[in-house]
Formats: sequence, structure tokens, C-alpha cells
Amino acid sequence: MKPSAIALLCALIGASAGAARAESATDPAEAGQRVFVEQCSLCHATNDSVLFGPGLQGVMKQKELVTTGKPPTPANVKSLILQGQGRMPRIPLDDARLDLLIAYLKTL
Amino acid sequence: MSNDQKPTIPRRNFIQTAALGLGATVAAGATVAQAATPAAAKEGTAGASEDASAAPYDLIIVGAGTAGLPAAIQAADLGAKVALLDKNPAIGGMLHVTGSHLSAANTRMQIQKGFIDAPATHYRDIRKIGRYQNDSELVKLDVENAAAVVDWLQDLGVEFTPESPVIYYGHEVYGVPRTHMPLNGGRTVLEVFRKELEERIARGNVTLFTGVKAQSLIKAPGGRVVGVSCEQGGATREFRGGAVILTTGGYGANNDMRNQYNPGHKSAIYGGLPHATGDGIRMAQEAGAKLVHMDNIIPVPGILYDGKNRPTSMGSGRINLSWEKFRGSVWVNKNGERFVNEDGFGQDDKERALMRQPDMTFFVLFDEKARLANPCIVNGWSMDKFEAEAARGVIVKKANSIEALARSMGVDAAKLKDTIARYNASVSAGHDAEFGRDKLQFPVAQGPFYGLQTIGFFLLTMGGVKVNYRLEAEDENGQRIAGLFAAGEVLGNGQLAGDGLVGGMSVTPSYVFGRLSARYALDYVRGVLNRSSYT
Repeated sequence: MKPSAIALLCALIGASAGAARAESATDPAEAGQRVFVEQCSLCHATNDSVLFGPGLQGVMKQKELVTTGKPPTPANVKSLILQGQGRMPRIPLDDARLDLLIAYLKTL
Repeated sequence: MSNDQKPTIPRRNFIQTAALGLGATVAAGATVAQAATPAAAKEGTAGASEDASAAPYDLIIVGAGTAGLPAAIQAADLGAKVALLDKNPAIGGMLHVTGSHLSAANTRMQIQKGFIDAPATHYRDIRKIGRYQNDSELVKLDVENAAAVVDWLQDLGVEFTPESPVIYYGHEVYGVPRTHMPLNGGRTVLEVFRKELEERIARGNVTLFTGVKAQSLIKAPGGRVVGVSCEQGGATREFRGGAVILTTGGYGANNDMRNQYNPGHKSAIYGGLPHATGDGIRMAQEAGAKLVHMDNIIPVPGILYDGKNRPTSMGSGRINLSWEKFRGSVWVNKNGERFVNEDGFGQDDKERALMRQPDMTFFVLFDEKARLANPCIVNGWSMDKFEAEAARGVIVKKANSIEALARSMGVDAAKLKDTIARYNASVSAGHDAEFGRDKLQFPVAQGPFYGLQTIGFFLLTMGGVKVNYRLEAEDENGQRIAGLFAAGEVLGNGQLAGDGLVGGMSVTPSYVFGRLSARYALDYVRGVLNRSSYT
């Protein structure tokens, strides 16, 4: 999904209003997209552009994660999100939201 | 103040009108951004009246970040109707990445730990570190309100590290533990602000519009700022209200502005988020505001450099440069010369020295003995990672002789060899006559040798919109621009920190002034500043 599409999505759902959080969506990837917009989109693009951090196109399909060198398994990606790495801060999402986010990242 | 600059709306009438005006908007679900709007739509207004009584919002806050969020929360708690705009798809701004170090005197945490401090002491420290180039009124305004804001954050549920407050050594140090560290930096604060904002959105006090980029300020014929013209999805959209608060951040990611105002700092890498493009600074200037401290940027050392000078890159990691974390390195510039006491106590000296080096670049040079003595040379790098980078040879240069290392670094070999020989002689003598370094256990003698290329980087910009003690933008003549307020990095860090980097004096004033700007702007809107006693 291109950044402009993210902006549109955000506009549609009012991402930062938060009331209509991920939990209300039925499709995990769609719900995960909302988590992504809220928590990740200021630093990461969904294509290969570098914003603050690397672009996440194909992030779950690449050989290894750029920052840790580990394979992009859901467990490794969750660990990276929860623990942070270098300039990436820790993002303390609960398990449910992490699963949704992973579901979305798999679509990139 | 001319008559047409005065807000003339009786408070009761204004609020009533605003509430009525908002009714349709809120009912239509405009607590979230609208995906599509007709070109030149005026948010909630039926016509183009310049009278603030016809405006749907008390306040338009531009930028939902470090200053804008507390401004919106505070304004809502004062009963205002607020339009909160952000060009990003999500709120938070720099809170997503900042450490959010807060400096404040006489906080509850300080008192509970028995630390003796006072706003007056804090004030003196800030003024001194800032070389007295900071605005004394604004510094005073911050230090007198900072403790209340830290306590407020704590009351809202922001968790701080158990050690807080601490003496923080990343900048020129304060004499007392005064730095309060949220447990997970700005993220901790952001999640608390998010929850608070959501409550006020639900209450109908705040309407949030994301993906809306402010383009210009709207003035009434008499000169009052009464709104913001924005771009959203290719269409123009206007937001009108009693006053506008700019909380749009700095301009570190705007290369055109950097080239215009800071041509001598082109080499430095900006380390913040890419949305910091100076929009509010430009808009305020176009509305007649004076800009101050624009010629200053203060980079800090420590970012490894891979030669890809992207404007918002944080380089390839941050090296541990402090004596406590990394012992035994020598810093040499592109000329192969040392330039500072590497283990000196003051950060300010190093920042000044860095600015004088060619391309703001230097190499952190050490030998095998120092490498083995330091398990973590770069934050987040294991020894395996270090070895891998040394083998790659882009960031970490490795060679078996100083001459070979110099060649890989692109530095004159004879000069570097001479520099290292003189440094080693200082180690032998136990005295560094050139720079006064007193920690001299490690000569650079045992190969292989390593050189890590670093470049200056900065996280905030020093220049911005001049404001008075009521956080009103001022013009070149020192007159306020009626209806235009500003808080956060859009002011430029120089008004608070002067000519230096002062611990906690970026984020703290953003929170403090965010809240205060809401109070002052509402005072203005509700006519308090219309009293004859106000000058």
C-alpha cells in the first residue's frame, strides 16, 4: 500500500481517534493496517522508501530483518517491536494487536 | 492595539455560537477526518464571515504532536471547542521517537527523593548553558511551570524510570538531579495523551483532522489571524476559529530551509522524523512573524556514517562516546588531527569542536586492545556485528597499520601517523599537553587498528517564530500578531536553550507551552486580553 493510500485510509477511519480500534474490524490484515497507521506510519513507509526507519515492503518475505539480521518470523518481528532496536523505540502492544499488525505486515 | 485587532465576542455568546456551529459537524461524525471535501470548503461555516463569532471553533491547533496534544487537552478542559489538525496520518509527531527527557525543579519526584532544587536555580543553569542567548522571559515561564507539568503527566499515568530524576550526562550537566525520564520515552507520554485526547474527542470538545496539511494562515481585514487554509487530498479546506496555535515543529527535514538558513551546516545529518518541514515557521513568517535563531544549528557527535547522507537518516547506529561506556578511543578529523579532549566532561566543548571540523566528520580510532576492553562500542551492536561491519569495511575501517588505516579512511597517512605518535607520547608521559586529556590508559599501539567514521547530527532546529511571554507571535517591530500563538519546536529551540543544547529544554517547554498556549489563546478569544490594562 502506498503512503497516499495510508493517508486515505487514515482519513476514512480517523486512525488517531482510536475509538474504532483494530478490534472492531473483522479482517485481521485490515485491522492490523489501523494499528500500523497509528503506531508505525510516521517512521516506516509501506514501500521501499526510507522515512525514519526502513521501508517495510516485503518485510515478512525478506531473508532477514535489516536491523537484527534475524529471519522475519512472526516471533522475531514481535520481539523487535516489543524490544526496539537502535533508534527504534519499544512499542508495547498487546498480543492481540501484535497479531493483527503481523497479519498486515504479511500483506506488504 | 487597534480596534479591529480586538476580539469583541462576549464569552457567553461566543461559546453558544460555537456550540451551535459545531453541532452539525459533530453530529455528522466529524470527530474524525473527512475523506473527501469540496474544494475551498469552510469547515462548519456557512459563509465567509471574518467575525470570530461565526467561527465554529474556539481554537485551531495545527500539529498534533509534542506541544499540540497537551494544548488540545488543556483547551478542552477549559471548555473550548478545538479543531486539532495534523498532516500525518496519525497523531504524535516526534513523541514517536523522542526520549522525552524532562527537566524541572521542585517536582513531586524530586521532593520525595529529598533533592533540593528551585526554579530559580534551574533558570540560572539554563541561561548559563545557553550563553545567555535564550529569551529570559520564556525561560522563566518554562521553569516556573515545568514542575506542575511533570506532576500533571505523572497524575495522568505517565510512568517514569524508578531512578528519576537523574543527572543526565548526554548534555552539559545540571548540578542537581533534575532530569525526569518517562519509562519508554515519548511513547509512554504519547499513549497517555492518546487516551486523554480520545476522552475529549468523545466529549465533543476536540475534533481531530489527520491527513490535513496547513498551507497558510487566514487573516481578517484588521489583521487578526482567524483560521488556517489547508490542503487535503488535493482540495483546499479552510478551518476558522477565534485563534490559531501553531505547534507544527521544526524544519530539520526541509533541505531548502537548511540551505537557506544554515549553509554552514550542510554536512550534519538530521535525526528526527521527515514531517519536520518547517510549515508553521513559513506560514507565520508569511503572516508577518519575526523569526529568530535561524542561523544556528547545534549538531552532536556520535552517529556512524555510511556516506549516504539522507536528510532524515540516523546514520548507521550511534557510537558510545562517553568515557564511562567506551574507553581508549582517539578522535581525528579528516585532516588526521585530534581536535578535542575526547574524555572531557563537558558535552558543550565537544559540540563546539565538532562544528569546526571539515564536513563535521571525525573518525573514532582505537586499537585491538581497546576493542577487546569495550564489549559494546556501538549501541545495539554485538561483537559479531562489529566484526561483520569491520569485514564489510564501509563504516568500520580495519587495518594492520596506521598507514593502511589512514588510506582506507582517506586521511593523510603521514599526518595521522604523527598524530598517533604524539598521542602515544602523551600516554607515556601521563599528560596530554595538547587537549588536557587525563584518561590515558590506552595507547594506540596494538594492531589491528580501527577507524569508525562519524558525522554530526541534530534532532531539532534552533530557529523559529518569535513569541512574547503570552506565546503570541511577534512581528519585526515587537508587536503581537493578534490571534496567532505558537508552542513547541516551531519556536526554535534557541529561544529556550539559547546557544547551546540544554538537557530537557526541548520537550519540557513543548509540554509546558502547549498547555499555556491553550490558556493564553482562550484568554484572547474570550476577551480577557481586551482589557485596557493589557498592553
